[in-house]
Amino acid sequence: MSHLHSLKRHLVARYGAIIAITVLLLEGLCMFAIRSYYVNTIEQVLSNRVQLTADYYQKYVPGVTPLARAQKLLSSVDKDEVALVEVLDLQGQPVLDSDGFIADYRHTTPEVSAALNGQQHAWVGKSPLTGEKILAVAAPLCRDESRDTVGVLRYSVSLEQTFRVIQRLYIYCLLVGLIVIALVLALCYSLACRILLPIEDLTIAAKRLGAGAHDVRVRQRSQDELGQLAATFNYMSSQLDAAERAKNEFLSSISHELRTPLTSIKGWSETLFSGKLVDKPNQTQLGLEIICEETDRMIGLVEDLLDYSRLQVGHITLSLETVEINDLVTEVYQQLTIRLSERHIGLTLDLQQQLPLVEADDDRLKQVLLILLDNALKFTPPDGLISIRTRFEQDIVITVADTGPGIAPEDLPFIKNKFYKGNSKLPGSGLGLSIAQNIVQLHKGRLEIASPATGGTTVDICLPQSTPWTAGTYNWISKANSTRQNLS
Amino acid sequence: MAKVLVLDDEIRIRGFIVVNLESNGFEVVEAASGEEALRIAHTQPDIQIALLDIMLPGIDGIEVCRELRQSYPAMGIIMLTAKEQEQDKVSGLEAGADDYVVKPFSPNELIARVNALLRRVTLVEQVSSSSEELICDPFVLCVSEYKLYKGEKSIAMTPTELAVMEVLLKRSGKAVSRDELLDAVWGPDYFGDPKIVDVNIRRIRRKIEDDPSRPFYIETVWGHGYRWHGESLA
Repeated sequence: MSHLHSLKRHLVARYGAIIAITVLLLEGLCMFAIRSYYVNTIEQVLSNRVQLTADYYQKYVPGVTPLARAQKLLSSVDKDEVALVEVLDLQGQPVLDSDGFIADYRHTTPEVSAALNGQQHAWVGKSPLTGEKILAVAAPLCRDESRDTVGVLRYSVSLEQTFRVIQRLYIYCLLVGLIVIALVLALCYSLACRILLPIEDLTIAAKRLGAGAHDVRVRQRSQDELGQLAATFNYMSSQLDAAERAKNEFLSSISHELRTPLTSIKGWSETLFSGKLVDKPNQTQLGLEIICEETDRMIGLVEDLLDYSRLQVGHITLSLETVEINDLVTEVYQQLTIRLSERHIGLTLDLQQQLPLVEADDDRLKQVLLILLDNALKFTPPDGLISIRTRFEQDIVITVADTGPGIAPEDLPFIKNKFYKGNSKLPGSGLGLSIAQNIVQLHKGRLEIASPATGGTTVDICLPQSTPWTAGTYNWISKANSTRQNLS
Repeated sequence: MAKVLVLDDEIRIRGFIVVNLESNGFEVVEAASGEEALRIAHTQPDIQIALLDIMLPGIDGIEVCRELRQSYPAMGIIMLTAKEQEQDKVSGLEAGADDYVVKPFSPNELIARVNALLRRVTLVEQVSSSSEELICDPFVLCVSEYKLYKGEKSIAMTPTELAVMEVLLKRSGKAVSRDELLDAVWGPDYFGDPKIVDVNIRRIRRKIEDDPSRPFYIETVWGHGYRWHGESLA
């Protein structure tokens, strides 16, 4: 499970990192905005005041000495003004401040220099006097008409309080950010678990399946892709189970099929060996015949099995040649008439003349016909009738029909499955139709089985004609030429 | 000459069974289907042993066995089964068969089984002439009628069940091992599955116990065998 846990760690770490970086970036932006907002607001306010006061000075403040004018100016400043208001001379030395002091030093900070050059300017920085963070705005003071700078008006305010507020806001911001990151990490983790739990389920189930457990089922936890995967896994498991069951049924059916001839062979050979039949030549003959026949039966069964497995693996390749279907059918028909005469079953042959040629494997096609005829023989009672017909419609169709009991409707869909024998207890591997179907499909044809309720079974082998043009030589509408032979 | 009914749909298998039985001095009647076997059995009630194939077209061997057992409790029945699965053996025995032979089998083995079963069947018949009764309250084992009475109620028993009951009752209160039962009932040369003892015990329990899942009269002695619950017979 270690790889799963590492996947979980990966998921949490990667998504966590992305979210953390995003949140921290946003936090930074937010903090910057807060700081700018506060400082800018204060700067704005101070700037306005400086502007107002400087204008006022320019227009209205009387007095002769700079000190008297400064006193006059500062007396006009609001008593509740929190900023320190100073009037500086042209050297940057305060003439008077709003607290009424005259300090003995020079301001050299940038705003003062700017004001001395006739520019109003704001500056944020550490005060060289107090070491506090301050915001200072300075504006030049002019006499009304001359516009010459006669001094500097400086508003300064400590930002310590403001920065404390901003700091507190920073902390809130960070806290919220951390909470968001923690929440996201938790969500990531639960998401990882949600993804990984079904995967762990699947891993365990797949291991069990691999170890040979049957019918392994995974709990379908959701309807999403993973749920579908679980459902698909369950489907696969059930299919494997069905395949396993089919295999077991096959083994038991094959072992039964082998056991019956083996019982005869063992029974008869031991009987012959024991010498009980020494003075009974007829029975000795019978026993030996049975042993030979049963051996043949087993050989046939083994050949069926080999054929089937070759077809399954796809090792059978057709040696295609141009085949005259009617010739092939007639040949099989002649082979069979001998076998049939013993059993009082009629066999009719009904050929449509001038069938188009077919690209086919001669031997394999004969095998299919023999399988179908063998089935028909197996199920047709004495005095029944088996008929072989050929005709041409879209395809070339070879029909094998019998007058047996037919196939039960509930068996019909499965009849072509391997080893399927319905309720039949007759000998056979249950492979015949499956082999026939495979061979016909190799010829790109179809095997169609019909069994009407009135009884009897009809099997059509439908084969495509070799090329469309060969049909041209044949007028397929005319069916007058069909011959009928009956040799029952 | 003992009469044996052979039921198998494969004439080739039936053939050598018949040859071997006849050469061992049995009188043989053949049947190719379950229906035919039942018809023959009803017209010839002197059949002592029936050899029944299980896989048959029409009614199967198990069903034939059940019907024969019902009509002829004293008949010895051997199933010929083509399947080795436990379930098939058990279902045959549950239907009342005395023994089974798995295909492919050796004719000699089959003859040995038939002979062993025949001894049991004829033992019952011999005992019946002496009209012996084993009494163990509330049971009376009446060998002559192939019947066991529980109080007033009669219970039909097969020859094998009867033989098993006889061994257990005669050694009432004492443990009897599976091997002892096998030797006493199936004969010392029996070479089948010892499970046949358990199947017969189960069948007997179903017939005689009030609650077959919690047997009272026939106790299981773990790892050993069985014991008849009760005092020793006088």
